[in-house]
Amino acid sequence: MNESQDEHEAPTVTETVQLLFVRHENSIRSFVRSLQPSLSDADDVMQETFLTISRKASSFEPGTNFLAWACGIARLKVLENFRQNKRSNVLADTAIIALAEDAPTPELLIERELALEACIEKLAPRMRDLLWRRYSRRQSSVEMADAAGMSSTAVRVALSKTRAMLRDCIHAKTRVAE
Amino acid sequence: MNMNDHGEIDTLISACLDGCLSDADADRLSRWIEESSEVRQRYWELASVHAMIEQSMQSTSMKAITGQVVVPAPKSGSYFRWSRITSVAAGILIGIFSASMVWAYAVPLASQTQRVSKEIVFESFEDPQMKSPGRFPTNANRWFGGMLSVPGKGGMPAVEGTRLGKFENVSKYRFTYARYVVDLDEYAEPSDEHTRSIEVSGSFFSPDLDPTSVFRIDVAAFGETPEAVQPVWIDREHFDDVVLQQVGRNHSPELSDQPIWHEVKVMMEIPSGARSVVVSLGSGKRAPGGAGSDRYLDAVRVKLVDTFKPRD
Repeated sequence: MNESQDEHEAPTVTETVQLLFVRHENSIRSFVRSLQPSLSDADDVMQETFLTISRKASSFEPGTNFLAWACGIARLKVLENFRQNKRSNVLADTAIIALAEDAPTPELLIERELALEACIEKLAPRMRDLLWRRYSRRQSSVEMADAAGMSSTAVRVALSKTRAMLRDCIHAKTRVAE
Repeated sequence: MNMNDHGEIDTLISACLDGCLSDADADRLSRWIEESSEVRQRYWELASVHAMIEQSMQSTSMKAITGQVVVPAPKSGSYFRWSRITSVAAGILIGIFSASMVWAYAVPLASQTQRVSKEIVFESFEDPQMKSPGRFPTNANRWFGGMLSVPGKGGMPAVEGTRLGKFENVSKYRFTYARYVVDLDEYAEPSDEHTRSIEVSGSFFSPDLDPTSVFRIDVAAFGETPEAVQPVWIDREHFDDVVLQQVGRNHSPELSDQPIWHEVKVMMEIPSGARSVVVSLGSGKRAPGGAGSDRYLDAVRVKLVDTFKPRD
């Protein structure tokens, strides 16, 4: 194929929607992960969402809110996934449906994302270290406890407190922004 | 709902996010979620924090947050499955995927932002076992130069955390350095409409400054891989032919009654073709001789700064 011709070819509707998906992938993924604690299930949901938006690309109206449209599809895929993979120790379907209906707007999620970085910077190094072990290295609470010289219960409590501190910080920052 | 309930609900939500809910707790939290919009709101607030931290930590070099060794996140199979499935769009998608993964929470507004800054290294020398062997880095993402982690104390509190870095006192050298190599290949390239710079800052301290004391930061970019920079650095005869760009700043602290921390900052545009950037933070004297004194370093930050420069 002639390269210069290819460069000037306008993207198809499907390609345009796929590009929008890629551009907003972090926000969509944050939305999915908020509802889906299992990482592998969240990956499946993201894939299914991508396939569905590709298939339904023609139903997206350019100029409207892509993120809201994509999150709407992702929400259905999360529910489908919960129904297909009945797992123990997880929230009931009805609770997931209730949560999905009360989901924050994509704009609010973006606003929180923007506030997060500054809030993480305010954390004590020990707390940042816990986050790094939990979210980057994917260590279990037992592994984290060994590394940090704490009990695994203390690790879970510290993680929970750290997330709560970040939530409060983000809340304060977004409230100021309002 | 009272304050005690809030605490219990937060604990249950946290356990849910960590995948360690008991059956009974899962039932209890499900009921609360179904019955109360306030609980649903609390869930979303914590869950979105959980998801956003994961996104940022997975997509950003961990050096940005903790100064720890980078452990790349396992690649999600889905990206590759997608790219196979959508072979038509794959060529377009790959570049944007990598960009979106690094600038995790800047992406949504990146196109409208004039300047996007991302911290890629933060070091406050909190690890008491910290080892920084050798004078010059032999690989990326690790401190070299003989720094020791020591606790802060009265009159010399840490700028960040509770500990700080102490420069090794080697009498035969006029300057001692903490050095680090950034591997630019670990970060997605900026778009065509952005230029990338590197910003380095650090806080220096000495309890007994004299008029010849100097703190300095140097930044130098090379086309070589991090592992190949050391021989280039040592070969001073050819150094100037090989270095792509170099910026240094000397800071001569004013003497004061009470010793204070001195923050020094340097910024350098990264030239095209650069693969490695050497960051050096040094402390010493302008003139040789005199007794060596203790010098300390804390709160070192390295940021990549992308500045929007539209093409004509």
